[in-house]
Amino acid sequence: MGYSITRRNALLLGGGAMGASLLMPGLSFPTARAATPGTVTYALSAYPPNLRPFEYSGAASRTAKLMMFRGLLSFSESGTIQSELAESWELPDPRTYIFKLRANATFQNGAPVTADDVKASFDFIRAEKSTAYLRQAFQSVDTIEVIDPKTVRIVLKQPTPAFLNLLAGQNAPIVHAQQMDNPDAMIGAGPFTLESSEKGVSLVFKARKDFYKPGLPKTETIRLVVYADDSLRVAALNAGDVDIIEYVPWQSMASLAQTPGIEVQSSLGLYMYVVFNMKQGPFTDPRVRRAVAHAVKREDIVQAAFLGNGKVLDGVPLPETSPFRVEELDHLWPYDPDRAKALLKEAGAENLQATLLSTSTYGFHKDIAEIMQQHLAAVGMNIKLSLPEWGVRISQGNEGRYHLAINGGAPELGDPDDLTALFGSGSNSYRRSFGLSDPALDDLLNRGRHESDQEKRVQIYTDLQKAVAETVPVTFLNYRLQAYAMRETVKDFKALPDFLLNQSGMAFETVHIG
Amino acid sequence: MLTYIVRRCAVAAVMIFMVATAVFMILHVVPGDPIEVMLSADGMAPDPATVAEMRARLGLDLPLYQQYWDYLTRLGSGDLGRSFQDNQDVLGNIAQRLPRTLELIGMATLLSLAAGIPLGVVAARRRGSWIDKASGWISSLALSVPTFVLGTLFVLVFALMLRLVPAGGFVPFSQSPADHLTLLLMPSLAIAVGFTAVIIRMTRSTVLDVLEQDWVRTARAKGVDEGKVLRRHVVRNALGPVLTVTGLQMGSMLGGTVLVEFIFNWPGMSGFLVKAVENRDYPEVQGIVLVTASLFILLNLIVDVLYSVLDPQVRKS
Repeated sequence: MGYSITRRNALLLGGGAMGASLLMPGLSFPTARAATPGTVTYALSAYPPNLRPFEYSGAASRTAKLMMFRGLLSFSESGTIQSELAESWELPDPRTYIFKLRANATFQNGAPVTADDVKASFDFIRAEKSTAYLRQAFQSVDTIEVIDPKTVRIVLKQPTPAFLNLLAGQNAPIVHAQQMDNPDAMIGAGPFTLESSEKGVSLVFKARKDFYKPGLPKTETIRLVVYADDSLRVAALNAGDVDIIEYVPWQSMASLAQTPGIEVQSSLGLYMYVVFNMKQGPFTDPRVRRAVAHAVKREDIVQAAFLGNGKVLDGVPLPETSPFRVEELDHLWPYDPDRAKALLKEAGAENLQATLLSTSTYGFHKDIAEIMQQHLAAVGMNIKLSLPEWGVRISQGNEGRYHLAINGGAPELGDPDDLTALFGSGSNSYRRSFGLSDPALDDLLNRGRHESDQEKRVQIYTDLQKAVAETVPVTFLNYRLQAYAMRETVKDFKALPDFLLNQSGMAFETVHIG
Repeated sequence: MLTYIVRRCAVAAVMIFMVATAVFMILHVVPGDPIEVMLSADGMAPDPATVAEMRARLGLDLPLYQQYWDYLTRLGSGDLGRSFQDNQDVLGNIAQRLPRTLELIGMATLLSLAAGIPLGVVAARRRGSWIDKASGWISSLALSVPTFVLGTLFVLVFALMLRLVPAGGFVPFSQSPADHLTLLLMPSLAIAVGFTAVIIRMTRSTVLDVLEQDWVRTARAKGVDEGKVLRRHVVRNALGPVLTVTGLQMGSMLGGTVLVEFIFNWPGMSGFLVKAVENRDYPEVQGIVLVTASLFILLNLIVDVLYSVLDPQVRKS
């Protein structure tokens, strides 16, 4: 008579085996693999679509491009503007900027960085048929004049205080003027050169010996390896396969922060907000938009969609240290369902029906839509969700095929002029409310952009916030935390603060394994 | 015979043309603009003038019939076009990715056959014994656990707890054969577990069928050694259906390794296709679908021709 296995025995055996395999090794975790001296391995969340210096192609590209390209200016660790290829600069009048270039700055091919290169780069950006991300913004440039090989003068059509911020961002790099025909092969003056790449897998950068900052970069090799899956990215860090990861998933932030030997650096720069269809439907009435702004309990969104890794934003997004912040305007739309109901009644919009557009591609966009649906139902709105994938969502947003929609945003300049992209009228874009055209807001934004007197500028943007409180061209929901995590062997990686977090690739010139 | 092969080749060519046309049309009907997607990464809003200029550069402003004609003309000369995203040659990218997926499928198939056939034979031979019951339980469990759960569990146990292998990734064979094979092992195993269960069940049932056949009884009656009966008369005859199932499974895996490639960061064809669709990179999507479909059609063509060689009736019909 042979031994026979009953169902019960088999389940017990199987369960026991699985439990043992999970728990026993846990009793004595082997240590993570050792870091490779001289090489920093960084886990990217996506492979860069391209490395064209003037086109915008996402956060992963930013990190890779910052290895190879540098502009006249950059942002420091504290978020202030600092010199980069330009050794110094002066403003003889509010429209004119004179930049003096570093004597030792060279491109990756060894050629010196000259004023001609600056002129060629900026002319490329502002050209009529340019596809540069800053083409529109650079239309404010009147003339670019080469004074001598190391000095360049830029004259703007009108005073624009945020112009320096534009140059400090990474979308205005200087490239070698002799090789500008192929955007995929432009030569920059960054601290590394691209040694090899394998599409979808990795990019390897080697340090330059003739970088213009003495002693930098500190590491010989940077490997950017793609780990698209959030959990695998975290697992790779824990296992020691990589040294730094970006886009730490919210569910792992707390556990990683408590893991010995791992450091997390995070910032609250990015935010979520709601746009409205202002051409047709119930949200053409500002009272109804205001009702939405008061009906949403933002704390629920922070807790449920971001697991507490965020902060309520019921005013206008301005950095903590911004001189344009006014304390009494920090909370323009506090949670107040009774007020929301009263506003709806006043507008004759009780029991309104509307479509809320979000996307199924990003879980947090979908979660916010579902939470908002409940909040809006509580004040009598019947909201239908539309959750297409990202590409369709962009098209529907650009064409105004929604009543209200969820968006994510990131200021780029660290200047309130960033708000023009949200409150200003212009061509239809999924990023701002469809059909938005408010002459009063446009006037304030335009005056704010070109006012060189700081006190007057503060007043203009204060007036803007007050106007926005009433007209609600968009309503903001929350800041969301974004983080890098790294092993303790990683030295001198300092993520940039607030809205600049995505430009933290600048830190690779100092980072090294210690 | 030659006429038959020519006729089958002509049918295959028509099918490839139909696939090329269908994928082109579907892509252009599906909502979502490739330029808007490309320039809207991370919620940025592209300048409409930039979108228009980019569209013109990529020929997307041309009438649809013109784009279709250009596409067919390029295809005729064996050119699959260049990626919208990075201007790289699509055929070159496919040539880089396809072997990785084939390698994954090949390794998973090898592991499945190596484990599944012996287990299936033993289970059938000892029908009703504890080995038979255990293999039934194991294959039920293996079939009921989704590949992505298994994959995640493998990462947790083998990479994070035991630290035996990296959590995922890819190293070219030419760079480090040992690292390459180490990284290939976990994703192959994740695919192989479910596949092995299918092989066990198929082998067991076909072996049981064959064991009932007259020629097996005759062989035994003639006094042939039991081991020889099993090897020469039973297993050999039982393998036909197993190989058919193996072929079908391998075919379905060509497009079905998405989750495994994602979990283990294995840069094969599936992940490439998903990303291309997400980005609305028309040349890449068209190229990948066309190459995959052509592979299927080619395999079918070879099978058809082989059938006709083996069976004159097929040829005549």
